[in-house]
Amino acid sequence: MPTLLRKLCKSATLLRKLCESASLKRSGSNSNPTPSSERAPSPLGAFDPLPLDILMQIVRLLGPKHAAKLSLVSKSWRSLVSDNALWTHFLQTHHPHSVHFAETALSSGYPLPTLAAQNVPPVSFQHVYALRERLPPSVVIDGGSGYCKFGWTKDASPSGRFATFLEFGNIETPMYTRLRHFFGTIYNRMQVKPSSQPVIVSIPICYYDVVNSDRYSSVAERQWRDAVQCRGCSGRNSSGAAAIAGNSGGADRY
Amino acid sequence: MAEETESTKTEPLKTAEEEFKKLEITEEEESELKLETSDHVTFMVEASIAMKFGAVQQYLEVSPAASASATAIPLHNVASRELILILEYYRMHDWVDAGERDLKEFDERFLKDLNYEELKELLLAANYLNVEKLFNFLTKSIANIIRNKDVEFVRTFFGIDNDYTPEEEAAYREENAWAGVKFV
Repeated sequence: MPTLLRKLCKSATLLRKLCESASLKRSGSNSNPTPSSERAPSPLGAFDPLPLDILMQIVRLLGPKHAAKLSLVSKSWRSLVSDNALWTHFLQTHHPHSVHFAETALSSGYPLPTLAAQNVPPVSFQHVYALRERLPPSVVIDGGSGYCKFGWTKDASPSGRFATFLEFGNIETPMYTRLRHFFGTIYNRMQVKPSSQPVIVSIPICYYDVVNSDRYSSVAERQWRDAVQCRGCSGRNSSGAAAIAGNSGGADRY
Repeated sequence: MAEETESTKTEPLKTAEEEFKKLEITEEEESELKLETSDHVTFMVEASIAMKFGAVQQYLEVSPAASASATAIPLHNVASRELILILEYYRMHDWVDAGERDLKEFDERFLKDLNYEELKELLLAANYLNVEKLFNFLTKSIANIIRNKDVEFVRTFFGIDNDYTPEEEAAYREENAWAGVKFV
């Protein structure tokens, strides 16, 4: 028996250190449970305060919508629920394609900074989450010159694709009128009013354009305008619209 | 199940129990650890189960001699009532013959037999003992209990007073309207 025990003990060395700090913290923050096995019900018929880390675990399991509701419980709960690490978690698990989140959080690199990091970002991720929740899903268009894929950010895979060349000819030559037709067709097939949701477009930049143009960016701008013109609205906030130009084709994921 | 291993504080009984346990050990070749709860009840617990408790591992790390069953490992923040429940849970989940369906049924019954106060006490004990499986089960269960309840229920459940003014509450209600959940 002792050999087995010792083995287990050894493997528990790391864990132990964690336990130690955790149990110290917990026993400090928590009024010791009374040893009596016959417990009198507390005055409110309610719980003694549970340690914060346990509450946080429960809130995390509740999911974003019910967690948001809990900020109405009391002031201390409001501050508990507004924890940025919590909402970072929710954004990652519930909005994996979140553009806004990428812009505000991923700019600091991966892995994501935790709340414990010294420079706490001024942005409240609960607020970001609420913003994302109110936005309609974005349309993603991967406009390859061979094949074009289109779909929704909320989906794991594109909702449709077609052979660009067969339907629209070689869009790598300057054919801006066709490009407009190209986007119009996609919006039509997706049955979306392009003005009502954000659109993310990946456009092939043609070699021909680049060598015949002063600036690379002017080509991208022109193509972007064509795409946006079909939408009929300009992105008012940063999460509204974005273009990724310079796609060389062949990207299988958004 | 737990009654078998539970002994009282009185000395003669304790030694008798120890003798009995020693016999059992030779028979089953299953080692046991002695755990003492906050209300001074001593339990003989199979090492395979006791070693799932983070607090026990931690204790044995500091004083390995306790594994020899001579001294009881003190569990300061766990009362006998909670330990009985924890052992019941772990013995069931440790039982090799228990199928997925059995465990599900057991979990449901286990939860049903607990009132909110007991649930909280058990959660605190599981937290202190650092028993991951039960802790996760209990936090998940509490989340399920409060998930579709109104804010007032959550206040009562956790024993929290509403310290908002009606104006503040209305403002925050507005702010979280996006969640689209029922508040009252």
